[in-house]
Amino acid sequence: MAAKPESFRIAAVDSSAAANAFDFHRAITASDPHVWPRSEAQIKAYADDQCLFGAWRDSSGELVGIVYVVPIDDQWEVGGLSVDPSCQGKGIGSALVKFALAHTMAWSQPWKSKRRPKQQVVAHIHKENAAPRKIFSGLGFIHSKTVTIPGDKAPPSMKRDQSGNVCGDELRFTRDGLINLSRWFNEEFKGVLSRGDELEFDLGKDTLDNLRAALRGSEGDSPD
Amino acid sequence: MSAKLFDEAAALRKKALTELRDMAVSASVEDDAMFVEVLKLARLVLELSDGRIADELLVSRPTVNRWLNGQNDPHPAMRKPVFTWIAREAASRLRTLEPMLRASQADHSSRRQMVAGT
Repeated sequence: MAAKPESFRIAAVDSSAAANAFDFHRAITASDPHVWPRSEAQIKAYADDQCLFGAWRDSSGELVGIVYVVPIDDQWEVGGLSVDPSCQGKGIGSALVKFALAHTMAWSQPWKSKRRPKQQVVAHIHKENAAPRKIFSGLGFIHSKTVTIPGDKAPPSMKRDQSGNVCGDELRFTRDGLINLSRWFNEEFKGVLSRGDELEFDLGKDTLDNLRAALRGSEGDSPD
Repeated sequence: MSAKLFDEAAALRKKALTELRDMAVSASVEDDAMFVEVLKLARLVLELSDGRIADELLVSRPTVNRWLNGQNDPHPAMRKPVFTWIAREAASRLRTLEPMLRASQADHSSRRQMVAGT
């Protein structure tokens, strides 16, 4: 029997909710060896800097998913994507990443950076982590390189390969992905996810309208 | 306090706030250089921290920083609310300033009368 549709809300995580977000992140990283654990101070800093986004279940007010987008050197990294097991398969993870991407493309235009080279928007995914790989591929991310982190440089919770290294891939966002993202925000998404769950972006109507216009206006941009 | 210094500072402040408000009202969202100019002037004249700007616009502090140092900027579609907010803030500070200017002028004129009366 299909689960009864629920309502969710996606927004930036306030500083006041940072401790809650860290508890959520810690619980996920304790049980999932594919997610890079961040410290409490890092999660707090992401929340303070409005680059941590969360999904909440309306009925209980409980946090059910997070993702962050942080600029690191000349890249923007989308990371920490995790969704509570009770809400997986509803499209919440994908919607979280879409919101984070839209926010970044609209407010920072990484591909129009005045610095050369253009800033890429990337995600690092553990070699054996299938769920986010599917989400990011579906959003128009493509493989850009393989990443190998020596075991002694990686957190103890991360899964190693036979040589003791933590291996994964770097995926980068593409122009096709941006066109699809714009289409989703402007045309396809009407507040209901594929399995009937309702989702609202908590950003204020005017800002959301501006965001949609910004995405439409960016469709010609290229990451290369 | 020197009345002259008060008047000069108040007049300069009024001029800066008025110009900032007018710039924010008339600025074109397509003009990248103008966006940074208005933002920098707003930060100075309105004494805004990067954190305050970030909180108001729901973006990160580093994002505001990158706007200010010219590394990134927001899409033109996102700029109108920034200008609207700055114009509103400048107008609000002008309203706070006006009674102080009037009080100072009233003070001067009563002093002039006292001088004339002696």
